[in-house]
Amino acid sequence: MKKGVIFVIIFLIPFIFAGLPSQKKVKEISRAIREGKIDVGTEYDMEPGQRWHNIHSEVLKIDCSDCHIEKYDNDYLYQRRYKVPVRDAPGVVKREVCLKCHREGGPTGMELYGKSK
Amino acid sequence: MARYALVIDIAKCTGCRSCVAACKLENMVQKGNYWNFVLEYEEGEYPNVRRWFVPMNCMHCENPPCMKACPEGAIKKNEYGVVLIDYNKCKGRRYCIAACPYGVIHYISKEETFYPGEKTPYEKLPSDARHPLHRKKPGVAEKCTLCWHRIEKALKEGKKPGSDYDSTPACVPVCPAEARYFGDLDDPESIVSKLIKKRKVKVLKEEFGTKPKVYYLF
Ligand code: HEC
Ligand code: HEC
Repeated sequence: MKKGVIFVIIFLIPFIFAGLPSQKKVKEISRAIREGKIDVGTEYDMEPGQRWHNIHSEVLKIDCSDCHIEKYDNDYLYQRRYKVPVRDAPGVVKREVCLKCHREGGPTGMELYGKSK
Repeated sequence: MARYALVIDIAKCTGCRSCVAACKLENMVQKGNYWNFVLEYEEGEYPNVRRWFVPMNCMHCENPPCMKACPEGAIKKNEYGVVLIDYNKCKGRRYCIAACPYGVIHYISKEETFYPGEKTPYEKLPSDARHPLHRKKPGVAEKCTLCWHRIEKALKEGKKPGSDYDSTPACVPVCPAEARYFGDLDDPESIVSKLIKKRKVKVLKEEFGTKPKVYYLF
Protein backbone atom coordinates (compact mmCIF):
# COMPACT_ATOMS: atom_id res chain seq x y z
CA MET A 1 0.00 0.00 0.00
CA LYS A 2 2.67 2.50 1.15
CA LYS A 3 4.87 1.59 -1.80
CA GLY A 4 1.98 2.31 -4.13
CA VAL A 5 1.46 5.78 -2.68
CA ILE A 6 5.15 6.64 -2.94
CA PHE A 7 5.22 5.35 -6.47
CA VAL A 8 2.24 7.52 -7.44
CA ILE A 9 3.86 10.61 -5.86
CA ILE A 10 7.14 10.02 -7.70
CA PHE A 11 5.20 9.48 -10.88
CA LEU A 12 3.36 12.79 -10.38
CA ILE A 13 6.39 14.99 -9.60
CA PRO A 14 7.31 15.75 -13.21
CA PHE A 15 3.70 16.75 -13.88
CA ILE A 16 3.40 19.00 -10.85
CA PHE A 17 6.54 20.92 -11.82
CA ALA A 18 6.08 20.60 -15.56
CA GLY A 19 7.35 23.64 -17.37
CA LEU A 20 9.21 25.22 -14.50
CA PRO A 21 12.97 24.73 -14.52
CA SER A 22 14.59 22.97 -11.55
CA GLN A 23 15.61 25.03 -8.52
CA LYS A 24 19.27 24.30 -9.27
CA LYS A 25 18.91 25.59 -12.80
CA VAL A 26 17.06 28.68 -11.56
CA LYS A 27 19.86 29.36 -9.08
CA GLU A 28 22.51 29.17 -11.82
CA ILE A 29 20.51 31.40 -14.15
CA SER A 30 19.79 33.90 -11.38
CA ARG A 31 23.50 34.22 -10.63
CA ALA A 32 24.40 34.51 -14.31
CA ILE A 33 21.86 37.32 -14.82
CA ARG A 34 23.01 39.15 -11.72
CA GLU A 35 26.66 38.89 -12.79
CA GLY A 36 25.76 40.16 -16.26
CA LYS A 37 26.75 36.89 -17.97
CA ILE A 38 23.32 36.60 -19.56
CA ASP A 39 22.11 39.73 -21.29
CA VAL A 40 18.43 40.35 -20.63
CA GLY A 41 18.41 44.00 -21.64
CA THR A 42 18.00 47.12 -19.54
CA GLU A 43 14.41 47.96 -20.43
CA TYR A 44 12.78 47.38 -17.08
CA ASP A 45 9.18 46.90 -18.12
CA MET A 46 6.43 44.29 -18.23
CA GLU A 47 5.84 44.22 -21.98
CA PRO A 48 7.02 40.99 -23.71
CA GLY A 49 10.38 41.66 -25.36
CA GLN A 50 11.48 43.74 -22.42
CA ARG A 51 13.61 42.70 -19.49
CA TRP A 52 11.00 41.05 -17.26
CA HIS A 53 9.54 38.70 -19.88
CA ASN A 54 13.04 38.19 -21.34
CA ILE A 55 14.14 36.74 -18.02
CA HIS A 56 11.09 34.60 -17.40
CA SER A 57 10.09 33.43 -20.88
CA GLU A 58 13.26 33.68 -22.96
CA VAL A 59 15.99 32.73 -20.50
CA LEU A 60 14.09 30.57 -17.99
CA LYS A 61 11.90 29.24 -20.81
CA ILE A 62 8.76 29.22 -18.68
CA ASP A 63 5.76 28.61 -20.88
CA CYS A 64 3.28 31.49 -21.20
CA SER A 65 0.53 29.19 -19.98
CA ASP A 66 2.43 28.29 -16.80
CA CYS A 67 1.75 31.85 -15.68
CA HIS A 68 -1.09 33.17 -17.82
CA ILE A 69 -4.32 31.26 -17.21
CA GLU A 70 -7.75 31.87 -18.70
CA LYS A 71 -9.43 33.28 -15.63
CA TYR A 72 -9.28 33.48 -11.85
CA ASP A 73 -11.38 31.22 -9.64
CA ASN A 74 -14.52 32.91 -8.31
CA ASP A 75 -13.12 33.30 -4.84
CA TYR A 76 -9.63 34.44 -5.88
CA LEU A 77 -9.12 37.64 -3.91
CA TYR A 78 -7.28 39.89 -6.30
CA GLN A 79 -8.39 43.50 -6.48
CA ARG A 80 -7.64 44.15 -10.16
CA ARG A 81 -9.44 40.99 -11.28
CA TYR A 82 -12.13 42.99 -13.08
CA LYS A 83 -9.46 44.72 -15.15
CA VAL A 84 -8.53 41.69 -17.20
CA PRO A 85 -7.26 40.78 -19.64
CA VAL A 86 -4.39 43.20 -19.23
CA ARG A 87 -3.37 44.83 -22.46
CA ASP A 88 -3.32 41.86 -24.87
CA ALA A 89 -1.92 39.47 -22.30
CA PRO A 90 -2.71 35.82 -23.05
CA GLY A 91 -4.59 35.60 -19.75
CA VAL A 92 -4.48 36.51 -16.11
CA VAL A 93 -1.69 35.55 -13.71
CA LYS A 94 -2.19 34.01 -10.30
CA ARG A 95 0.73 35.23 -8.21
CA GLU A 96 1.12 31.83 -6.56
CA VAL A 97 3.51 30.82 -9.40
CA CYS A 98 5.98 33.48 -8.31
CA LEU A 99 6.26 31.88 -4.86
CA LYS A 100 8.09 28.88 -6.31
CA CYS A 101 11.14 31.01 -7.09
CA HIS A 102 10.90 34.26 -5.17
CA ARG A 103 10.56 33.28 -1.54
CA GLU A 104 13.15 34.18 1.06
CA GLY A 105 15.90 31.59 0.89
CA GLY A 106 14.68 30.50 -2.56
CA PRO A 107 16.78 30.05 -5.70
CA THR A 108 16.84 33.67 -6.93
CA GLY A 109 18.46 36.84 -5.66
CA MET A 110 15.07 38.57 -5.81
CA GLU A 111 13.49 37.49 -2.52
CA LEU A 112 10.13 39.17 -2.89
CA TYR A 113 8.11 37.09 -0.43
CA GLY A 114 8.72 36.12 3.16
CA LYS A 115 8.52 32.70 4.68
CA SER A 116 4.98 31.87 5.70
CA LYS A 117 4.35 30.73 9.23
CA MET B 1 6.39 54.10 17.41
CA ALA B 2 3.03 53.50 15.86
CA ARG B 3 2.00 50.98 13.23
CA TYR B 4 -1.30 51.90 11.64
CA ALA B 5 -3.67 49.20 10.51
CA LEU B 6 -7.22 48.51 9.36
CA VAL B 7 -9.62 45.89 10.60
CA ILE B 8 -12.57 45.02 8.35
CA ASP B 9 -15.52 43.03 9.62
CA ILE B 10 -16.64 40.85 6.74
CA ALA B 11 -19.64 39.62 8.70
CA LYS B 12 -20.94 43.20 8.85
CA CYS B 13 -20.04 44.40 5.33
CA THR B 14 -23.13 44.68 3.15
CA GLY B 15 -21.22 45.54 -0.01
CA CYS B 16 -22.66 49.07 -0.28
CA ARG B 17 -19.38 50.55 -1.55
CA SER B 18 -19.54 53.73 0.51
CA CYS B 19 -15.87 53.17 1.31
CA VAL B 20 -15.08 52.92 -2.39
CA ALA B 21 -16.84 56.21 -3.15
CA ALA B 22 -15.32 58.02 -0.18
CA CYS B 23 -11.85 56.89 -1.23
CA LYS B 24 -12.33 57.97 -4.82
CA LEU B 25 -13.35 61.47 -3.77
CA GLU B 26 -10.82 61.92 -1.02
CA ASN B 27 -7.90 60.77 -3.12
CA MET B 28 -9.10 62.03 -6.50
CA VAL B 29 -8.67 58.62 -8.06
CA GLN B 30 -9.33 58.75 -11.76
CA LYS B 31 -11.91 56.79 -13.71
CA GLY B 32 -11.07 53.13 -14.12
CA ASN B 33 -8.67 52.96 -11.21
CA TYR B 34 -9.40 52.14 -7.58
CA TRP B 35 -7.46 52.45 -4.36
CA ASN B 36 -10.22 50.57 -2.62
CA PHE B 37 -12.58 48.07 -4.22
CA VAL B 38 -15.15 45.54 -3.04
CA LEU B 39 -14.90 42.03 -4.46
CA GLU B 40 -17.83 39.71 -4.16
CA TYR B 41 -18.44 36.04 -4.68
CA GLU B 42 -20.86 33.29 -3.80
CA GLU B 43 -20.16 30.18 -1.86
CA GLY B 44 -22.10 26.94 -1.58
CA GLU B 45 -24.95 25.50 -3.55
CA TYR B 46 -28.61 26.43 -3.61
CA PRO B 47 -30.32 26.64 -1.12
CA ASN B 48 -27.27 26.85 1.14
CA VAL B 49 -25.51 29.80 -0.41
CA ARG B 50 -23.60 32.66 1.11
CA ARG B 51 -22.50 35.85 -0.54
CA TRP B 52 -19.22 37.38 0.54
CA PHE B 53 -18.16 40.98 0.15
CA VAL B 54 -14.47 41.61 0.58
CA PRO B 55 -13.31 45.23 0.48
CA MET B 56 -9.68 45.32 -0.64
CA ASN B 57 -7.15 48.12 -0.49
CA CYS B 58 -3.38 48.17 -0.08
CA MET B 59 -2.48 45.81 2.76
CA HIS B 60 0.45 48.01 3.86
CA CYS B 61 2.53 44.87 4.29
CA GLU B 62 5.27 44.75 6.89
CA ASN B 63 7.23 42.90 4.24
CA PRO B 64 6.08 44.58 1.00
CA PRO B 65 7.02 42.70 -2.21
CA CYS B 66 6.24 45.81 -4.31
CA MET B 67 8.97 47.72 -2.51
CA LYS B 68 11.54 45.00 -3.20
CA ALA B 69 10.50 44.63 -6.84
CA CYS B 70 10.68 48.33 -7.75
CA PRO B 71 13.89 48.89 -9.73
CA GLU B 72 13.72 52.66 -9.07
CA GLY B 73 13.43 52.49 -5.28
CA ALA B 74 10.25 54.54 -5.58
CA ILE B 75 8.29 52.60 -2.95
CA LYS B 76 9.02 53.08 0.73
CA LYS B 77 7.48 51.95 3.99
CA ASN B 78 7.53 54.89 6.39
CA GLU B 79 8.22 54.76 10.12
CA TYR B 80 4.50 54.33 10.81
CA GLY B 81 4.32 51.23 8.60
CA VAL B 82 2.52 52.97 5.72
CA VAL B 83 3.70 51.91 2.26
CA LEU B 84 3.89 54.86 -0.18
CA ILE B 85 4.80 55.37 -3.83
CA ASP B 86 6.91 58.41 -4.70
CA TYR B 87 5.47 59.69 -8.00
CA ASN B 88 8.63 61.66 -8.71
CA LYS B 89 10.74 58.52 -8.69
CA CYS B 90 8.22 56.12 -10.27
CA LYS B 91 8.99 55.43 -13.92
CA GLY B 92 5.98 53.19 -14.54
CA ARG B 93 7.96 49.93 -14.85
CA ARG B 94 5.00 48.03 -13.33
CA TYR B 95 7.24 45.58 -11.46
CA CYS B 96 5.28 46.43 -8.31
CA ILE B 97 2.07 45.43 -10.06
CA ALA B 98 3.61 42.10 -11.07
CA ALA B 99 4.85 41.38 -7.56
CA CYS B 100 1.77 42.35 -5.52
CA PRO B 101 -0.29 39.23 -4.74
CA TYR B 102 -3.34 41.36 -3.85
CA GLY B 103 -3.59 43.27 -7.13
CA VAL B 104 -4.09 46.58 -5.37
CA ILE B 105 -1.67 48.65 -7.47
CA HIS B 106 -2.99 50.35 -10.59
CA TYR B 107 -1.11 51.87 -13.49
CA ILE B 108 -2.17 55.23 -14.90
CA SER B 109 -1.74 54.83 -18.64
CA LYS B 110 -3.54 58.05 -19.54
CA GLU B 111 -5.60 60.72 -17.87
CA GLU B 112 -9.28 59.77 -17.81
CA THR B 113 -12.05 62.11 -16.73
CA PHE B 114 -15.40 61.03 -15.30
CA TYR B 115 -17.40 63.03 -17.84
CA PRO B 116 -16.31 63.08 -21.48
CA GLY B 117 -14.64 66.37 -22.44
CA GLU B 118 -15.34 67.95 -19.07
CA LYS B 119 -13.57 68.08 -15.72
CA THR B 120 -15.06 67.96 -12.25
CA PRO B 121 -13.76 70.54 -9.71
CA TYR B 122 -11.58 67.79 -8.25
CA GLU B 123 -10.08 66.90 -11.60
CA LYS B 124 -9.41 70.58 -12.29
CA LEU B 125 -7.30 71.01 -9.17
CA PRO B 126 -3.76 71.76 -10.39
CA SER B 127 -0.95 69.45 -9.32
CA ASP B 128 0.78 71.93 -6.99
CA ALA B 129 -2.46 72.63 -5.14
CA ARG B 130 -2.67 68.97 -4.18
CA HIS B 131 -0.99 66.96 -1.48
CA PRO B 132 2.15 65.30 -2.97
CA LEU B 133 0.39 61.93 -2.67
CA HIS B 134 -2.35 63.18 -5.00
CA ARG B 135 0.03 64.48 -7.68
CA LYS B 136 -0.19 61.32 -9.73
CA LYS B 137 0.13 61.56 -13.47
CA PRO B 138 0.06 59.30 -16.51
CA GLY B 139 2.94 56.83 -16.47
CA VAL B 140 2.99 56.13 -12.74
CA ALA B 141 1.57 53.44 -10.49
CA GLU B 142 -0.92 54.37 -7.77
CA LYS B 143 -2.46 52.71 -4.73
CA CYS B 144 -4.03 53.34 -1.32
CA THR B 145 -1.95 55.46 1.06
CA LEU B 146 -4.08 54.69 4.14
CA CYS B 147 -4.96 58.40 3.74
CA TRP B 148 -1.47 59.30 4.84
CA HIS B 149 -2.26 62.98 4.15
CA ARG B 150 -4.83 62.81 6.96
CA ILE B 151 -2.62 60.88 9.38
CA GLU B 152 0.31 63.22 8.70
CA LYS B 153 -1.85 66.28 9.36
CA ALA B 154 -3.17 64.81 12.60
CA LEU B 155 0.35 64.03 13.81
CA LYS B 156 1.47 67.59 12.97
CA GLU B 157 -1.43 69.04 14.91
CA GLY B 158 -0.64 66.81 17.87
CA LYS B 159 -3.86 64.85 17.42
CA LYS B 160 -4.09 61.10 17.71
CA PRO B 161 -4.72 59.60 14.25
CA GLY B 162 -8.10 57.91 14.30
CA SER B 163 -9.44 60.12 17.09
CA ASP B 164 -11.82 62.10 14.88
CA TYR B 165 -13.28 62.17 11.38
CA ASP B 166 -10.50 64.21 9.74
CA SER B 167 -7.67 62.18 11.18
CA THR B 168 -9.06 58.80 10.11
CA PRO B 169 -8.75 57.23 6.62
CA ALA B 170 -11.75 58.38 4.54
CA CYS B 171 -13.10 54.85 4.05
CA VAL B 172 -13.53 54.21 7.77
CA PRO B 173 -16.02 56.74 9.18
CA VAL B 174 -18.32 56.56 6.13
CA CYS B 175 -19.09 52.87 6.58
CA PRO B 176 -22.81 52.69 7.49
CA ALA B 177 -22.38 49.19 8.89
CA GLU B 178 -19.42 50.29 11.02
CA ALA B 179 -17.48 47.39 9.60
CA ARG B 180 -14.17 49.26 9.30
CA TYR B 181 -11.80 50.12 12.11
CA PHE B 182 -8.54 52.05 12.09
CA GLY B 183 -5.87 52.29 14.74
CA ASP B 184 -2.39 51.64 16.03
CA LEU B 185 -1.23 48.04 16.42
CA ASP B 186 1.47 49.08 18.87
CA ASP B 187 -1.09 50.57 21.23
CA PRO B 188 -2.73 47.72 23.16
CA GLU B 189 -5.66 50.01 23.99
CA SER B 190 -6.50 50.82 20.36
CA ILE B 191 -9.67 49.42 18.83
CA VAL B 192 -7.69 47.40 16.26
CA SER B 193 -5.44 45.79 18.87
CA LYS B 194 -8.45 44.88 20.98
CA LEU B 195 -10.39 43.39 18.07
CA ILE B 196 -7.41 41.36 16.90
CA LYS B 197 -6.94 40.00 20.40
CA LYS B 198 -10.59 39.27 21.04
CA ARG B 199 -11.91 38.01 17.71
CA LYS B 200 -10.87 35.52 15.08
CA VAL B 201 -8.92 37.49 12.47
CA LYS B 202 -7.50 36.53 9.14
CA VAL B 203 -5.08 38.19 6.76
CA LEU B 204 -5.24 37.49 3.04
CA LYS B 205 -2.75 35.16 1.38
CA GLU B 206 -0.66 34.57 4.44
CA GLU B 207 1.42 32.07 2.46
CA PHE B 208 3.18 34.94 0.69
CA GLY B 209 4.79 35.98 3.97
CA THR B 210 3.96 39.64 3.30
CA LYS B 211 2.59 40.25 6.81
CA PRO B 212 -0.34 42.44 5.75
CA LYS B 213 -1.70 45.11 8.11
CA VAL B 214 -5.31 44.85 6.95
CA TYR B 215 -7.09 42.29 9.10
CA TYR B 216 -10.43 40.64 8.35
CA LEU B 217 -12.96 39.55 10.95
CA PHE B 218 -15.31 36.70 10.10
C1 HEC C 1 6.69 34.01 -14.96
C2 HEC C 1 5.34 34.25 -15.33
C3 HEC C 1 5.03 34.76 -16.74
C4 HEC C 1 5.36 34.17 -17.94
C5 HEC C 1 6.14 32.88 -18.18
C6 HEC C 1 4.79 35.00 -18.97
N1 HEC C 1 4.16 36.07 -18.41
FE1 HEC C 1 3.26 37.59 -19.41
N2 HEC C 1 2.91 38.57 -17.67
C7 HEC C 1 3.19 38.07 -16.41
C8 HEC C 1 2.76 39.04 -15.41
C9 HEC C 1 2.88 38.88 -13.90
C10 HEC C 1 2.23 40.13 -16.11
C11 HEC C 1 1.64 41.41 -15.52
C12 HEC C 1 0.18 41.22 -15.47
C13 HEC C 1 -0.55 42.29 -14.71
O1 HEC C 1 -0.33 43.47 -14.98
O2 HEC C 1 -1.35 41.92 -13.87
C14 HEC C 1 2.34 39.81 -17.53
C15 HEC C 1 1.91 40.64 -18.55
C16 HEC C 1 1.89 40.28 -19.89
C17 HEC C 1 1.39 41.11 -20.94
C18 HEC C 1 0.80 42.51 -20.77
C19 HEC C 1 1.90 43.50 -20.74
C20 HEC C 1 1.45 44.88 -20.41
O3 HEC C 1 2.09 45.80 -20.89
O4 HEC C 1 0.49 45.05 -19.64
C21 HEC C 1 1.52 40.43 -22.12
C22 HEC C 1 1.16 40.90 -23.51
C23 HEC C 1 2.14 39.15 -21.79
N3 HEC C 1 2.34 39.10 -20.41
C24 HEC C 1 2.43 38.16 -22.72
C25 HEC C 1 3.12 36.99 -22.40
C26 HEC C 1 3.48 36.00 -23.38
C27 HEC C 1 3.12 36.06 -24.87
C28 HEC C 1 4.18 35.04 -22.72
C29 HEC C 1 4.86 33.81 -23.28
C30 HEC C 1 5.87 34.07 -24.28
C31 HEC C 1 4.24 35.43 -21.32
N4 HEC C 1 3.58 36.61 -21.17
C32 HEC C 1 4.86 34.70 -20.34
C33 HEC C 1 3.76 36.85 -16.12
C34 HEC C 1 4.27 35.97 -17.06
C1 HEC D 1 11.14 29.42 -12.37
C2 HEC D 1 11.50 30.46 -11.43
C3 HEC D 1 10.80 31.82 -11.50
C4 HEC D 1 9.45 32.07 -11.48
C5 HEC D 1 8.28 31.08 -11.47
C6 HEC D 1 9.32 33.50 -11.44
N1 HEC D 1 10.56 34.09 -11.46
FE1 HEC D 1 10.97 36.06 -11.30
N2 HEC D 1 12.94 35.72 -11.64
C7 HEC D 1 13.53 34.48 -11.72
C8 HEC D 1 14.94 34.65 -11.98
C9 HEC D 1 15.97 33.51 -12.13
C10 HEC D 1 15.18 36.04 -12.07
C11 HEC D 1 16.45 36.79 -12.41
C12 HEC D 1 17.52 36.80 -11.43
C13 HEC D 1 17.35 37.51 -10.16
O1 HEC D 1 16.95 38.67 -10.12
O2 HEC D 1 17.65 36.88 -9.16
C14 HEC D 1 13.90 36.67 -11.82
C15 HEC D 1 13.72 38.05 -11.78
C16 HEC D 1 12.58 38.67 -11.34
C17 HEC D 1 12.46 40.08 -11.08
C18 HEC D 1 13.56 41.11 -11.32
C19 HEC D 1 13.61 41.39 -12.80
C20 HEC D 1 14.75 42.25 -13.27
O3 HEC D 1 14.53 43.02 -14.21
O4 HEC D 1 15.84 42.16 -12.74
C21 HEC D 1 11.18 40.31 -10.65
C22 HEC D 1 10.56 41.63 -10.23
C23 HEC D 1 10.51 39.03 -10.67
N3 HEC D 1 11.38 38.05 -11.09
C24 HEC D 1 9.17 38.83 -10.32
C25 HEC D 1 8.49 37.64 -10.54
C26 HEC D 1 7.06 37.51 -10.42
C27 HEC D 1 6.12 38.62 -10.00
C28 HEC D 1 6.75 36.22 -10.75
C29 HEC D 1 5.38 35.59 -10.85
C30 HEC D 1 4.48 36.16 -11.81
C31 HEC D 1 8.00 35.53 -11.05
N4 HEC D 1 9.02 36.44 -10.94
C32 HEC D 1 8.11 34.19 -11.36
C33 HEC D 1 12.88 33.26 -11.57
C34 HEC D 1 11.50 33.09 -11.51
